[in-house]
Amino acid sequence: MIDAIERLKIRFAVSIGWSADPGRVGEVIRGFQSTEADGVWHLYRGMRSISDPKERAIVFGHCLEEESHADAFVRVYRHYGGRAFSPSHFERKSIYQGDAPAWKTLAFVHVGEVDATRRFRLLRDALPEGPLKECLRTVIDDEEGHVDLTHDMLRRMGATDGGIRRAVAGVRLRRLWEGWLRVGRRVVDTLATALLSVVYYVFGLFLFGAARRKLAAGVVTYDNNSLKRL
Amino acid sequence: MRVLGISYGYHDASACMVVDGKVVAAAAEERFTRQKHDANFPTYAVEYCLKEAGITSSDLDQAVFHEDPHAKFSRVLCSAMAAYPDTRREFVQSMKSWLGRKLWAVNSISARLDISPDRITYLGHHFSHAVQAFMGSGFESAAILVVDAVGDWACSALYHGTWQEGRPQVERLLEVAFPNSLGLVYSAITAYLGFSPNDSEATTMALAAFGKPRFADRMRAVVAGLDDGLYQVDEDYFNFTRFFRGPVTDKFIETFGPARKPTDDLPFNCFEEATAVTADAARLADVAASTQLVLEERVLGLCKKLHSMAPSENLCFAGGVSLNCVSNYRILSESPFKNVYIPPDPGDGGTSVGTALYYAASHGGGAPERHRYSPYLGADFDESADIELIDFIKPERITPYLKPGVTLSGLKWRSRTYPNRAALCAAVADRLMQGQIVGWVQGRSEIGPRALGNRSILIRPDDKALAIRLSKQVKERAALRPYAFSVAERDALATLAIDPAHVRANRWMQYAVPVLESARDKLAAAVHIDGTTRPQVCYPEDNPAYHDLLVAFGERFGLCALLNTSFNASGYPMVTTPVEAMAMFARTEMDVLVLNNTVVSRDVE
Amino acid sequence: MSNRRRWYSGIVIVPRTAVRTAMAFRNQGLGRFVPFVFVLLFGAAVLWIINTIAPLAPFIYSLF
Repeated sequence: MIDAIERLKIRFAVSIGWSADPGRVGEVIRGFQSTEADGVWHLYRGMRSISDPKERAIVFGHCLEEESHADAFVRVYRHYGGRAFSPSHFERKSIYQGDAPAWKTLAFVHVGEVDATRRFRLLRDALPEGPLKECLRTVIDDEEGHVDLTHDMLRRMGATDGGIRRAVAGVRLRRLWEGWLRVGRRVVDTLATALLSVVYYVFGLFLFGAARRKLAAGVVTYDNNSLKRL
Repeated sequence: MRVLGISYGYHDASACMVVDGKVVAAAAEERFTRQKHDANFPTYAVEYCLKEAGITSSDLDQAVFHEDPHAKFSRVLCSAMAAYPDTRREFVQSMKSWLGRKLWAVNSISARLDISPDRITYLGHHFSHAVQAFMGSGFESAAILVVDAVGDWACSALYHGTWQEGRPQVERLLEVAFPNSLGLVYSAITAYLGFSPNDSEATTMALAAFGKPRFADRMRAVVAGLDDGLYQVDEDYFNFTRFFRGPVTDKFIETFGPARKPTDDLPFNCFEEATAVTADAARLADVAASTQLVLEERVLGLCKKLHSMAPSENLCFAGGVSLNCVSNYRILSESPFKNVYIPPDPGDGGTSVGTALYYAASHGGGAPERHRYSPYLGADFDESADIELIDFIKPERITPYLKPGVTLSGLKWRSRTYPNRAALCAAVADRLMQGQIVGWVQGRSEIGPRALGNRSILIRPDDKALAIRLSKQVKERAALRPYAFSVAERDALATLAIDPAHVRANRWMQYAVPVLESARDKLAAAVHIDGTTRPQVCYPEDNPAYHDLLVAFGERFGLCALLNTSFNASGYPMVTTPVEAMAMFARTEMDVLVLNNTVVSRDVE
Repeated sequence: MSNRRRWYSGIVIVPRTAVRTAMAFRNQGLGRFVPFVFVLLFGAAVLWIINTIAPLAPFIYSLF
């Protein structure tokens, strides 16, 4: 059911939304690049608490794969973007603290990948032939190749089946909650845009003259060069 | 006294720890988050600084922030209103950002560090740059120039710095107000040329060398020089307040021609003869050349003005425009100032250092020499655990993820640890002589945008074909961007056509200087089309390990010089940890990776 | 004196920030902006309250 809704949403976005606003495709690709790069970052941090060099080497290989996906999205952006690529800058948040077992970070990344791959599949099916569709095919092939590998690896790192299920459930709940908060924030954002627009048009009438005079001044008269406290 | 300097909010967030007047740690947030120019609160840089000082945030005496959010907000709001009614989108976006977050910077810092707001000080942005420049200079007194995009209200600012009774006094002389900004002009034209603004201004500078300044007169009308050395930007050419409309206006396009799309090819090449240069490509190069020339004229004008107000022998220079190494060399050689100091990280990333030092010295006292600092203040690493995993890396597992165009595959990794630096340098120098590309990672990472021998990729400087391979198969870098070289101090005057008095100023790759004709063959891969380079003169006391490598290589090559470029992939910040270095080594055609005393290679049996 | 942030620090910072901001406008000769700034800060406070209940926002707005 959720898949069906998401499929419809993606088809609508691709056929109508992206045609109306070509810049939107670029933003979506930037988002994909950010997701992959974020996965790499978490994996690097998770690696620090893996003591077995064999397991570290496997995770290292995983990092290279995610990094290659991030790079692939940058190349595709150049095709659609219309301007020079600059990555999104959302704040990196370490999910687990330093002493948490590494398998928890891997579980978190793994869940993120599974969700992202599901969306990539839906998008791949909705897109016409082109560089983005080709890129998604490659990424999906890679991700599908190591889902089982990750599960086995988590067990080798000391996770029990029950532990994995709980960690995955915890991550899914957190992602659901964050998605919910995003919806709420979008509502607030829309409200803020409306309010600020009204304020701009009403108050701007009385202030633009003073503002223009100020910008024409040329030099800064007030000396603000000292240490300050609130 | 323990003072933490913090900068964040626009680009290049960073943190710096000063204990009893000495910098013990400094780092940019991007080195921990792997997001180039990361502007978010520097959580991980702060964590590193506190750990290096062996304290927690509750032990801090003071945190110092690099701008005055209230003053800056007044400028942001005023700008949005000045272009009424065309700036609704700009107003809405700015207000969401400022009212939601940026205006409450003191609260954010207090909450994140869990310190009382009484322990937080802030200072104006250009003042932060001024103290950044002055505090590290070691000068008893100096004229100080800050040229930036925009801070609170100022774009360019002139100061005079002195020490009185063991405390620094920095007095404002003049501030040129927004929107009269040289930094914004250069960034806008960078965007017009199809490059990424606030990131690729160096590419504009590189492109300028391929053009002729045939638009200089038109550009002088855009950024007019005034008789007293100041300047005036004609805003009709730019959308500084209407930024959703693009960087330049129709008037600029009518004057200089259409903007370049980022995907349009530029046929210029530092190493090979250019393929046919179209009229359009030539025009764009000429626009870059004209912009560069006029920027230099205006900066020199500001130096003249500053010298008239503060007739010192010494100049301290900071702000984003001080990253323009071509203009910097003209200041060094043509301005009225005899001695010039530019801090190793003169942009926003370095303000955390200056503000922390200034606070510490203002309250704890000190002397100019005491506050000097080297750029090697970033995180160190222990490579031993990462070396162990090499035995388990399967080359075939890496092959699918090589960067495009890279053909190395199927070769097993090997590692060898050398017992001492002399043996290491000899082995690495031999490989460099054989034409191998070496990733060199040593000790603490540098602050600032330049690799200075601790996070560097090195090749022999005479091999253009190797430099092309480096550009294509390792750095994925535009062919028009030149490389530069490091040279041991003993061979500086054998390579650089500069005044001997200026050798010491060239320690941190801040000046584009001419290379001696007699040395150009041996340095062909690291000299730009106009015969200049941006050198690092390496002194043994600055970086002993790197100096030893240069000398070891010099014994084989005949000159103690190496092509030195930063150890980062295109679009990423410099590597910090061994694993990040290994990841780039794995996916590119780098031949050798050196992690402290261990050499990792992909050798055929 | 402890260095740590107190529970009431946020409450103290808000009016101080408002006053400092108003002073910044006056210092720059933009005194006539001050009432507008207070309107914006009031609006920011309203939006902050709404944002705090953002988890419930989709429910609330679906009621209208």
